[in-house]
Amino acid sequence: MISKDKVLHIADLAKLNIEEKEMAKYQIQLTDILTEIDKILKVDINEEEIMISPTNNKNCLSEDIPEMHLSKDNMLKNAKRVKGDYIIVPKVIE
Amino acid sequence: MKYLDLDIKTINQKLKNKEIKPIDLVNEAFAKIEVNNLNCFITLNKEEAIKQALKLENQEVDNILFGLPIAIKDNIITKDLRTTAASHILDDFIPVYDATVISKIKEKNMIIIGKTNMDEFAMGSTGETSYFGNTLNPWDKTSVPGGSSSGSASCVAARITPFALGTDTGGSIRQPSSFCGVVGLKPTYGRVSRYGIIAFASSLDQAGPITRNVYENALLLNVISGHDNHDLTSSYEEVKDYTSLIGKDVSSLKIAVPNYYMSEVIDKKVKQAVLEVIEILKKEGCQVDFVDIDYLQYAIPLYQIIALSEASSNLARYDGVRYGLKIDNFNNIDELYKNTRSIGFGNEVKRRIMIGSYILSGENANVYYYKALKLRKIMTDNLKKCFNQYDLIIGPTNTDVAYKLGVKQDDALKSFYDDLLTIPVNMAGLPALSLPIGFKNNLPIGMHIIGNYFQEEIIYQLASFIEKTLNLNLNAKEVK
Repeated sequence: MISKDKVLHIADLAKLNIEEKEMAKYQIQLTDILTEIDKILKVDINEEEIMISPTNNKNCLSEDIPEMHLSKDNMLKNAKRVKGDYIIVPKVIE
Repeated sequence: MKYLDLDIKTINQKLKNKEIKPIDLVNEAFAKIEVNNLNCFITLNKEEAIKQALKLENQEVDNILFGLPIAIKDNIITKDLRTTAASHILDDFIPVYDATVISKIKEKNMIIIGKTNMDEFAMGSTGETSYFGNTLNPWDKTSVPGGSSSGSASCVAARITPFALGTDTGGSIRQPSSFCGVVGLKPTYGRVSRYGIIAFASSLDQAGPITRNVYENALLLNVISGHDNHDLTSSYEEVKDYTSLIGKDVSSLKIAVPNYYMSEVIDKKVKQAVLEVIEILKKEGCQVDFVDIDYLQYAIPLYQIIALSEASSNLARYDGVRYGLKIDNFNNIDELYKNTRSIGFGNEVKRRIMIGSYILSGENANVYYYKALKLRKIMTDNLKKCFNQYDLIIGPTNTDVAYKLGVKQDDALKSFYDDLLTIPVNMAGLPALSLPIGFKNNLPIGMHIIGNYFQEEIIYQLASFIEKTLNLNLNAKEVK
């Protein structure tokens, strides 16, 4: 089973808090999934090509023409705090 | 009179004759929602739907879907109509534009009844991970409806709306369609625009129709398909009339049944139902062969790596800085992220983005992710090879019928194992449909019909033949 420290490390990567009371559950569940995932390490493959997406589209270039998409009012609609034309966000630079 | 139990051609005729009006259908849908209490919907669009129905009374009935009620999975954004993806983190989110699929159904004057319940961010296979409570299965209210498109499948099964849209990343249209006894299609990747669909795993996600029968499914696919400049993975492939082969002779079809789909993990009665259909097909003259397709057995770990990696990246945007849930208790930016996401996401989502972040971190990306991308290529090549010889692949959609609510909730692997048979289709980007073919203990059994790329019409051809031959009564038992 993975250690508490490893659970905390993984949670930190995903930007999540883990409470002590949830720790045992996450240790078991993450171990279960990671054990399952390890199965593919044992697969013997001699394929070098990778597949990122099923799409067959080649370069999809669009003309560089400005278009109206959203009005200013619409853009501000989901903002929690607005001042004039600005969205007020929490301080993200320290 | 229950108009919503009639087939679409009949309803369309009655609308044309002015025997009924769109508002009659809308009223009936909302009445059924109230009586049945299936928790199919997160947000109802009642006021707007009534307004639109009344407006349509003065318009000519110009297409077969005109004025018909439709339900939309709540991860497909709808302008001015709340869209939550069944998550606390988005529970006050009002989209400012329509997804392309929504614009397309609006052009046909279909009427949106509401946004359907689902597993949070489409992560789950029972409907139980929704922040808004679980959806009920109209066949048995103590059983799961399947997921993640739980509300869309349940509401069509209950005949609340004849049409619904779902999305499918690893089986999320086909699995609930199978558990609820309805017809659900995951189109070829790129057939339907993903613009405006809240992303889970972008290389696997695809929206598709959930309906009462095969013909109506094809009708809805006709409308939502097509290239979209807003989604560069949407295909330039020509949109066909997907109803064109329905009712046509199937005797020349060559069909493969992978042994993987009929293994010992499949319930005996489910297997029996599939074998009975195979007998019918052979009698009709179809060539049906059992075949081995290698690498399908790695579907689950492959999905865990690819889907969860993409998910961890896609869900990084829910950070408390932009739209969605806002919290006040934080001292620095890291606390803002962590406190917002820890309150905003449910357990299934947390687990999945943790695994995804871990897989993509440092050296793990090489060890797991790149290996998975190679395996994805091989699995896809093997499926493609099968289509050199066969027109279709069939098997069961699920290992069993719907199970009881709550029984597997703490099992972290459960929701993945439910998708054992559906995942390979998303990996390859192929189209596939789930069709009801019988019952076990009064619960529907689903058959999986997988087609070659952009050949949805052949899937419908075979599905409609089986549907007509079996002629099942698919009216759910617990619906008033």
